[in-house]
Amino acid sequence: MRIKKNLLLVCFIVIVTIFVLSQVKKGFFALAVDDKVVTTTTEEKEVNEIRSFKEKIASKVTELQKKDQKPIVGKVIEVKNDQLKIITSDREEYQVKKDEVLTKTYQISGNREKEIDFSKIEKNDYIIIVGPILEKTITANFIYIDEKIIIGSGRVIEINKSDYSLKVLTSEKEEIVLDIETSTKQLLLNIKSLVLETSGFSKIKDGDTIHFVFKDNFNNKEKRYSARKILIIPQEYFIK
Amino acid sequence: MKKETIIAIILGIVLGITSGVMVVFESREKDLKKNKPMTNQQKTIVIPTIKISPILTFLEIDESFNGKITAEESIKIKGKTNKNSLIIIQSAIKETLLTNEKESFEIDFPLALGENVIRITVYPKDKTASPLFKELKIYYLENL
Repeated sequence: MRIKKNLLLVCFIVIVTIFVLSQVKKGFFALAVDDKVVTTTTEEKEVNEIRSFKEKIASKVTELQKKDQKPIVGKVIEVKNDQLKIITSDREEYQVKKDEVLTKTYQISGNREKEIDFSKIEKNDYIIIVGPILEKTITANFIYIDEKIIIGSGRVIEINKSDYSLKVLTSEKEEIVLDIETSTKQLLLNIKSLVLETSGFSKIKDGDTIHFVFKDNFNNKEKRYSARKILIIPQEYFIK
Repeated sequence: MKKETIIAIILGIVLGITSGVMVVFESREKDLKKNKPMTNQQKTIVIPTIKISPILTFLEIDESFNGKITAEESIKIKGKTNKNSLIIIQSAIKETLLTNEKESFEIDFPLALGENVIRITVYPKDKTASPLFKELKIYYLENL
């Protein structure tokens, strides 16, 4: 009986000791893990902050660059592998280089930009180039193929009713011929209400002032263009 | 012929020529007298000088965005010109007509993708004054 009691007591003491020891060990590890977690969290936070700061700076720089950025615009006169030569309206020539990684080319059509391959650019295309310029060489980041639109005004000096065309003396003292197509948008100023109204070819008279819009098709020696839009101010408007 | 006769003929011719010349001069003087201006009448005629100041057309446009790139679908066109002018703003996609009661004017104008050529023409109220125009270029590019 006594031995049994002693045995029981010893077992009890051993169990309690083991239990206590295990609890103590757990607590010690927990502390150590917490420290590590705290350190990791702090480091990660710093890294994230630095990353976010860098991104903010980069986007601000891009924004500032975009604000003051002026593209180079011109007609393609030569295509060679990964290089183009263009001429601007000021008769300045530039070399355009493609970057394998950065250069992106887009075709503008209506109100959409469609990404295309650089190789699709052809001679006589009218392009807008964005990228760093060094002397007369541009390393293109972006290239957009667009249309060259001409907007002008002048006076109607001759009306050809048989082929629906107008001879115009422009404000730059140049004579051009405008073909009025079925698709040409024709507007006429109502001189009483000063409102623009849709009109027709028959209402145009010699001496009327005309504002016009057409696409420049380059190499046009005849100076004959298909008018996209015309706006007529009747000559009666200018009579006191 | 007798001496006396010859002398008489010569004297007659000389006398005739002399009197003829005198008559011519006298008649010239009479004509000149007739054409003299009446300056001795103490009348001063004042010719009024009329100064005509030509009306000058002026057109100032805020060109801060001219030639630059934007990611916006429209821009604000601001300018100044003669009051009560007819202002026509035209591009490939839009035309706008306005009249300005004050010298300054401002309008929102839409942009197309790519190059936008915008022409602003002013016709002053005084029809004798010359019109003026200015052209702006702005590039609406999305993927930058």
